[in-house]
Formats: sequence, C-alpha cells, structure tokens
Amino acid sequence: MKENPCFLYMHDISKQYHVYGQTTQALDHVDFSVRRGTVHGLLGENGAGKTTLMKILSGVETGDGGEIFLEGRKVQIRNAQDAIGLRIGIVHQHFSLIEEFTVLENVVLGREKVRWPGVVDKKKIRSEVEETMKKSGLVLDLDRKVGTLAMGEKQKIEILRLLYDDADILIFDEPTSVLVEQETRQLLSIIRTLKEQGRTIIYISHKVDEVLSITDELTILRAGHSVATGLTSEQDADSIVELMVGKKVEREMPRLPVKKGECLLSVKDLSVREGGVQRVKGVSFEVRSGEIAGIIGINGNGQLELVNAVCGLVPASGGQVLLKGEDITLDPVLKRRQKGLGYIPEDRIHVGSCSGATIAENMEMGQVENGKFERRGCLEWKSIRGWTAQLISEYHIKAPDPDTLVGALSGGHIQRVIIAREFSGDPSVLLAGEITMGLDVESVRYIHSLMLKMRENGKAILLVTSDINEILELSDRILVMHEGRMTAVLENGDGLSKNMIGEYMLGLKDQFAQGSTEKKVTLA
Amino acid sequence: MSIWDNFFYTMLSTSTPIILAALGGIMTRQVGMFNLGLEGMMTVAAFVSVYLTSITGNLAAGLFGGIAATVLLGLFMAFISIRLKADIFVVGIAANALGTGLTTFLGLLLTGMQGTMVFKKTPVLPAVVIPYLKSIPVLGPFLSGHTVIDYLSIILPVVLSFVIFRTAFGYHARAAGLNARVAENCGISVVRHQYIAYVWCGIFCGLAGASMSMPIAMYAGGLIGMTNGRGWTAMAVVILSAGNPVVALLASWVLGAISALGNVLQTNGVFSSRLVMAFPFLAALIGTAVYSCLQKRKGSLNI
Amino acid sequence: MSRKKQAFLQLAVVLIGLLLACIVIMVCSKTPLEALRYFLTGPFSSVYNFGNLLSYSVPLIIEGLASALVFSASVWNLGIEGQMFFGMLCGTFTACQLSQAPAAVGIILSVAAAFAGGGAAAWVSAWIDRKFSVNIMLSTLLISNALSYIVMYFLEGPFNDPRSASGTCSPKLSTRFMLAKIMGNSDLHTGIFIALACVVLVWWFLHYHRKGFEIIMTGQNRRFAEYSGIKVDSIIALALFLSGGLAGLGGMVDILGVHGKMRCMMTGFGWDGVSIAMIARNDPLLVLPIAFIFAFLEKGVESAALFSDVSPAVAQMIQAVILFFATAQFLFRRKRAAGKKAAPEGRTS
Repeated sequence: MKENPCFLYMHDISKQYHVYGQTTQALDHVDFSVRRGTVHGLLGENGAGKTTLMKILSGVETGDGGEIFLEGRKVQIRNAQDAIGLRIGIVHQHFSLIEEFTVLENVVLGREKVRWPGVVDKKKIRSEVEETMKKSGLVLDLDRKVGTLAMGEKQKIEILRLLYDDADILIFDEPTSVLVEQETRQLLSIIRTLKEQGRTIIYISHKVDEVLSITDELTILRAGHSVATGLTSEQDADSIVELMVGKKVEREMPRLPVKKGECLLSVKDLSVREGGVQRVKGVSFEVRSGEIAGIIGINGNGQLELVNAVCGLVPASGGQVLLKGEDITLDPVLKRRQKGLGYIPEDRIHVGSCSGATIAENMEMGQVENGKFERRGCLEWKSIRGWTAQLISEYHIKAPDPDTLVGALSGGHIQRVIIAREFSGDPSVLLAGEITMGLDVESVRYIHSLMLKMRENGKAILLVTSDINEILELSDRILVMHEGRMTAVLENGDGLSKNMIGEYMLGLKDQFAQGSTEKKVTLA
Repeated sequence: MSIWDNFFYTMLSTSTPIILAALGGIMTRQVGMFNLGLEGMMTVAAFVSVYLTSITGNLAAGLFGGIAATVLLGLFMAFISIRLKADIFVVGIAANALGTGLTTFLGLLLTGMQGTMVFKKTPVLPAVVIPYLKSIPVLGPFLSGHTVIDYLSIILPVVLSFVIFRTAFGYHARAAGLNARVAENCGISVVRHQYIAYVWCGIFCGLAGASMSMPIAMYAGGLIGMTNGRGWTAMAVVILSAGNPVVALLASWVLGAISALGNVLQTNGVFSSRLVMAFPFLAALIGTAVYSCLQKRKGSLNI
Repeated sequence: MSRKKQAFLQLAVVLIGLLLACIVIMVCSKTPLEALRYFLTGPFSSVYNFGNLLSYSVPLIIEGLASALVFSASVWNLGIEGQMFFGMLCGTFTACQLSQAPAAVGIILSVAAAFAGGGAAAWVSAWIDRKFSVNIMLSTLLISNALSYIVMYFLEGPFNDPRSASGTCSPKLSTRFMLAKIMGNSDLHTGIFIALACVVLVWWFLHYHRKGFEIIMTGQNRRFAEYSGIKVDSIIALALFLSGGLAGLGGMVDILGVHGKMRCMMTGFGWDGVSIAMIARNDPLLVLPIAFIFAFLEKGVESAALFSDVSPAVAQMIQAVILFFATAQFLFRRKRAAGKKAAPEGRTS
C-alpha cells in the first residue's frame, strides 16, 4: 500500500452503475491525489467519471472499492454528513437548493443551530451567516425565495454554504456551465481568494481553456480511468484534448457560406406568461431557409419558454408565430408538426423520448396521425421495426435492435434517436434546445455536422444554447435574450467577441431598448 | 341542547377522525409519500382499540394498543415502499384491503362476531365535561362534553403546525419531500424521515380509528364499515390544506359541519339517509375544485 | 428484463401468495388437513362447483381489464367500484323498461346502457380535471363514493322491488334477458365468452390500435406524448370513459348471467379489479390468470369455511398480501427512489 504525502489521496476507486439492465463502469481503479492549498483541475469529457469521483469524495455516492486518505490518515466517507465533518464541500453542477425555501434556510439546511426543544434559532443563524458573507465578500438577500433568483446568485448560495461550514476542500463541479463571461471572471476571482485563504480547490470542467487559466495542477480522466496528471504550466491545450478524447481530434468542419432563401419562420412580438410572470416580452425575429439562428442567454431568461411557445407546448399570451407565411399561433402541437415544424427539446429524457419504451415505439411517436404505418387504425409493427432498423444504421445509433429500450442508450445515442425521429418528418423549420449538452465529443461533432447539413439543404434552424462556443461555431446570426426580451441580433463574423455577447446577455447593453442603452448593474 | 348546539357538537365530533387522519396524511405527504391507506389504518385502529379495551377492561391499554397496531402497519407499509421499492399508491390500496380483511378475520377468530360487533361489558371512552369550558357563553354547551381524542384533534394541529414550520426536524422533513437529492446532499437522511413520517401517520390514524369505535364500544366492518370513506375525505383535506395542519383543521370542520347539516336534513325528512351520506364527498369535491380555481387565479399551482 | 420474464415473476408472486393461504388455513383450523383439502379441491370437486368458480371469475376479469386499461394511461381511476355500481343501475333500469323487447335487443341495449353509464361516471372526472384542475384520483374516488350512496338510495326507494324477499333490490329482469347457462345447473353462463372476448379486445387495442398505443405512451411519459403531438386531454378522457364503461359492463354481465336483478350491496368487484390489474402490471393477458386465481382464492376459502372452520376473510387478506409485494421493484433491480411519485395536487401530472 503506497504511502502518499499528499493532502488528499483517493486510492483505487471504482464504481459501477446498473440502469435498465445495463452495467456501466463509471470509475475503474482510479488514483487521485491533491496537494494542499492548490487549485487542482479535474478534466475529462462528459461521462469520463469526474463527477462520479467527486460525488464519492463528497459523500453523495459510495465507491465500490478503494480508500480515501486525508493527511495520511484513512477516512470513511459514507454519506454527506461524514464529508461535511471532514470539511469537504461541493458546489454541485445542478444546484442543491430547495427552491421553495429562502436563501438563509438553504445555506443552513441540515446544519441548523437549534434552541430547545428543536426550534431553529433564526437570530443566531442569521448573524452567523451575515458574518460569513462579510468575510467572503459575497452579498445575498437572505430572505428571498431561492426560486426567484438567477443562476449566478444561486451558485453563490452554494459557495456561501461551504464557507459557513468552513470547508477546507472545496469542489466545484462544472461551475461555469450556467454563467456568463463576466460572472465567470467573478467566480475565478472568488476561487483565487479562497486559495489565498489556504483552502484547497478541486475544479471539475471539460473546458480546457478555463482549467489552464485557473489551476496549478490537473488530472485527466477518460472513460473511468486516470490517464494523466501533472503541473498545469507544463501542459498545452491540444495535447490535453487528445488525452481527454483518446485520439487526435481534428478541428471541426467549418461553416460553409450558404445562400439564404425565403423566410420560413417569423415570430412577431411574441409574449409568454407563465406562473403569473411575464417570461417572454414581445420578441420578434425571423429565420430564413439555409440559416441557423442561435439564441443565447443566461438560463432562465425566457429562451425555453420562447421555444416552447413557438412549438405549441405553451400558449402564447400575445404576438404571432408564422410558419412559411401561415399563422400557426393558435394551432395545436400536432398541426404545427404536420405543417413542417420539428423540435429537439432540451430535456431529452423527460420530454424528448420515452425511456421505458423501445426505439421502434419512440420512432412511431413521430408519426402521430400521419398514418404512414397504420391501416384503419391498426399499427403495422413489422414495417415500423424495419424502418427503425434502417434509421438505426443511418444515424449510427449504438443499439442491437429496434426493440432495445431507449433508457439503455447513452445520452449521445438517445439524442440520435430523437434527431432521427424529427428529421424523418422532413421539417422545414427545426427548433433545437441545448442539443449537445452533456454529450461526448464524438456525438457533439456528429450532431453539429447534421445541423450544418440540414442548413445546406435549405432548412431553417433555430438553436437555443447556453454554450457560447457552440453558438459561435454554428450560427449565422446570434440572438441574445435577457429577462424575456431580445437585447441583440448580431451577425456572426469577425469583430464579434464573447465579451460583447456577454454584455447583451447581462442586459448591460440593449439594441432595442428605448432611451439609454447602458445600464448599471452591480455585480456583487 | 338546542338545535344549534347539537349541530356544532356533531360538527366537532364528526370532524375528529377526519382531521386526525388528515394529520397522518400530511406527515407522509411532507416527505414526498402519498399514503392512500388511511382507511385501512383507521379500520385496524378502530378494531384493535375496542377489542383490547374489552379484554383488558382498560381504556388506556386499548387506546395505546390500537395506536401500536397502526404504527406497526405503517412501518410495514413504509418498509415495503422504501426498501422493496413497491409503488406507493399500490401499497396504500393494499393496506386498505388488508385492513378490512384482517379485522374481519381477527374479529371472527377472536370474538366470534361478524359484521357489526357490539362489545358488551366494555368501558366506553367517556365524554369529558370541563366545567370551565361549559360556562363560556354561546360556545360553552358544545365545547364541553367531548372525548379526550376530540380535544386532542383540536390541539394537535396547532402543535404540529409549530413542529413543521419552526423546528429543524420540520425543515428537514419538508426538504426531504421537496427535493430528496438536495436533502441527502445536505446530510439529511431522507429514508429516516420517511419511516418517521409513517410512524406519526400510524399514531394519528390510530387516534382517528379509536375515536370512532371506543366511545360506543362497537366496531362495524365490511366494505362500508365504520370508517365509511373518511379516509378519502381526509385525503381531500390533505390536498386542500397543502400540508398546513391548521388549514386542515378548518377544512375538517367545514366537512364536519356538512355532515351535521345532513343529519339535520335527514331527521327533518328532507333527504333520505343514503343521500345524506353522499354530502361529505360532494362537499370535498366542490371544495377541492374551488381551491384549485383560486390557485390558478393566483398563478402558482401549489407550493 | 424482458416482458416475459416479468410476467413469470408476477405469477410467481401470486403462487407464493397461494402457498401462504394454505399455511394460514392450516394454522387457523382445528382440522388443518381437512381444511386444506376443502380449500384446494372444493372448487373443483364437482361440475357445479367448477362452474360457479368460472362464473365468479367473469366479473373479476372484466373489472381487472377496466383498471388495467386506465392504469396503462397512468390515470389513477380509483372510482371503478362506484362506476360499476352506477353502470349496473343504468343497465338494470334499461332492461326493466324494455321488458317486452326480444331477448337480443334487451341484452344488447342493457349492456350498452351499463357501459354508457359507467363510462359517463368516469368521464366526468376528466372534465372536472380539465375545467377545475382537480386531481383525477381524488375526484374519481369522491364521485364514486357519492354515487354509491345515490344508487343505494334508488335501490331502496324509487327503484325498489317491494315484493322481493330481501327487500333491497331492483325489480327482477325478464328471464328472456338472462344469459344462457352452459354448465349443468351451475352459475356458469355465456358471459364467460364475453369476458374472454374482452381480454383479447383490450390486449389488441392497447398493442395494435393507434389510440391504444397513444394511451400507453401517455402513461409512460406524459410530457413526451404532449410534445409528440398527442392530445393528452382526449386520451385521458378516452381511457376514463372506456374503463368506466368496462366496469359497468362487468357488473351488468354478472347480473344478466347470475342474479337477474340488481342487489343493493357493494360487491367489491371493482376494488378486486384494481388489485388484479396492479398485480398483473396492467397486462391484459395476465389479468386473465390472476383474476381466475383470485376467484379460486375466494371460492376455495368459501368451501373451506363451509365445511370446516376457516374464516371467509382469509381470501381478502391473502389478496392484500399479494398486492403488497406485487409491485416490489427490488425484484427487477431498477433504480427508483422511494416516494418519488409526486403528491397528486392540482393538475394530474
């Protein structure tokens, strides 16, 4: 058994998952060590095992084997409480917050100080949390319900919680996936402050540039194995990517110039009201044939509601949607699909597919009232399966046969099933939300090439994404949303910087605002 | 007692089993488990408590025995749902079936009686006359003279409200129900809270069941027995109150009032007794519809 | 896990339940072997008994199908008992009005009336959900309970047959409307063929018909169904109507086959059907054997109670125990957090 003088040493960690009859080896005898007081990057593709490893460290999951050592001493981390006791804390990728509770209640959740007979001592807690806020420089309104806050704010609650626990090892899991340029810079400066305080940071990301800029050391995981570890200063981006993916990665296919045709999708002054709040406020734009229009915004600024309204899942409270010149604002979902609208939803598991059904059944769902595979109401399963088998080979879906349950497929291949289904209806306009989120590099490349091919075939694509790299790569035009309004329509070309886009995303600049276009927003 | 006193008196005593069962439902709903088996739990409690009272001659033994039996049933249900991962709705319905079957079976086995069982020479849960309460003008005559359990049914919602919204336990339980993943990440054992919830549900349903059989030393089983669909009205109250015990108490009183009103109408020959029995269910339905409409208007559908 | 394997496991659970029944019977009886003998062989001991066993399974099969269909849509129709009861009233009333009509007409119309009545009673909940966002599980329950009392009022009052011996039932139906008996002088009637036909029909509908497919998909993932363009509201209404209709049909077939009049008592067939469907995991083909086993449990225990000292309540207890374990996922090793089912507040979702 190796003695390791490191501060944190995870030795021989393995983890298996069993879902829908399939077994996945998420981690395979991984060794991971971190020196005290450093920022240590944990890199890897989606699905490489980074989050799993950290879940084991933070007590959310237990490993199938292996040991963890802190300062040379073996420790047991069986649940979150053990980890908290060892001063290990994690800022989750999907926040661990109760939307219905206030900020204060969330910060102390699970660690409330009580007076007899179990009553929460609100006064004491409040003063302690305010003390922590002062020391860290984070400022939050303690009495607001978390559900009403923006993403960046929510993340601060998680950080505050770790500081309230006086965590010594802080894990950040893909922290910038929901942040904008300016907020990212803020976060990175907070991390530097924490490091100066002597704390140890583990930074999980798949964004190579970020990791190179903030970390002192890094470890790369690939398919559940640790493939490299060393000082950040000795690495370069290309070799890191190669280690992450396992083979030499070509640059992505460039976007070819395509002649734009007629306007296929036109949105005029669209408004959406949901839950008593105006989510979309009078948005107008057009998408032409042969064009990809990308909508970008901070999560929760109305993009999802906008796309749902265009698709018909949510009623519009005002405005119009025109498909090929025809008004479809009042049409039900089915009619819009029949007229040529396709939609690849953001949530591919709960909305875009049925995990408990076979691939064939999922494909057949794209034929609602189409009558293609039915005779007098009776479904012809043989032809449906045959057609599905064709699609499986055409889109390189990793499944043995059409009767495989969709839930058994990996994320990238579930997405291919959805795309195959939507494309098979030959839509003229395709709506797509977060189309490559959480997917492996190969699937991302493949899906991007499909999008570009569709574009070359004269379709109109409306893409919603929070990944600024993706939008710069795919879109002809970039539409920025902030608080339900469209703040910018930008041509994608030279002279367009991420910073610029970020300003529109934060509402600092607005192309369509009446009066002043500059807005002072305090970033706490 | 005048008609009105009679009316309010009936209202309070009829609402007792409803609010108590609803409290049990609130406890489980809080941790994210919707217990459909309130009927079954009440049936078991009603039978066991009156049976134990009759063989021991001791009211306290009967009451606690009934509660213990119901708690056991609750733990069993929790175990099957949590550990064996059975569907929570199915477990609730199975509990109802088991409750009816088990009580009929044990009834015949232990007492030789079937259907409506009258327990002779058995102490009856007495009506408590509180002289101080009785002398309050207007309210007095119907506030006094109820059983211990009836009074508990008024006090417990207030206590429970305090526990749910002001104590750490309450916060943890609510967090477990609102988002189990988040609760676990914060060091809260969701499973532990789920078991505890079922224990409390057992206690409250135990009280509810005992409140029906012990005051009259009788038990009526079968498909339409003593519990008479009250478990379902309690469920409606749980939904209506959105988990707030005091609101549940008020809702139960309203339903109790409607039952009492039905009684009045029935004795005056306006409606037949059968039709009158349908009133509480229709009232609960209308109440829930009104509640949902109000929520929709407010914009948020229930938090 | 394949669907076949699942089916076998379900049946295994039921058979273990039967074993448990045997044990309980032996333990509780002063003459264990004799009681066991009556339990196991009683229903098969004669043509008469066997016929009664089959006849008893008829309403159970149809009620099981009713629940299986609606649960496939993930719609929790817990009011089957009341819908059945109401459907039976409509059917019996129709039959009494048509007492002069020819047999075929009488049977078909009264069965249709029972179907329509039960279906309407269930469909109302879909309408209430759409208009007032009241959870369907709750409204079917409440309406069913209220309806039961209203029906009883009619049977004891305006629709009562004063000449009958028991005093609480409807007037007798014309004997021409009774379904033909087919096994000696037992209760078994041609309704068994209706039940078998229903099994095939429901199975075919769910797996091969477009609307049935939409019902299953809506049940599996409602948001996905919505997104695919399925009119989820209509599907839910359809599923409710069909299930209420089948419920009424089942009760009516029992009247036409066995009783010849409607009695003012809750039979419990509706709730048995709910249990059967849950144990069969909503598979129409599994409903058939499980309903039969339920019938066997009842009749076997009845026989043991008659000739030995066993309590008739054993059957219901064992059914409940089987139900407890029927959906235990630990058998299928699927990851599912306990209590993940959302509290059914507001809109059914």
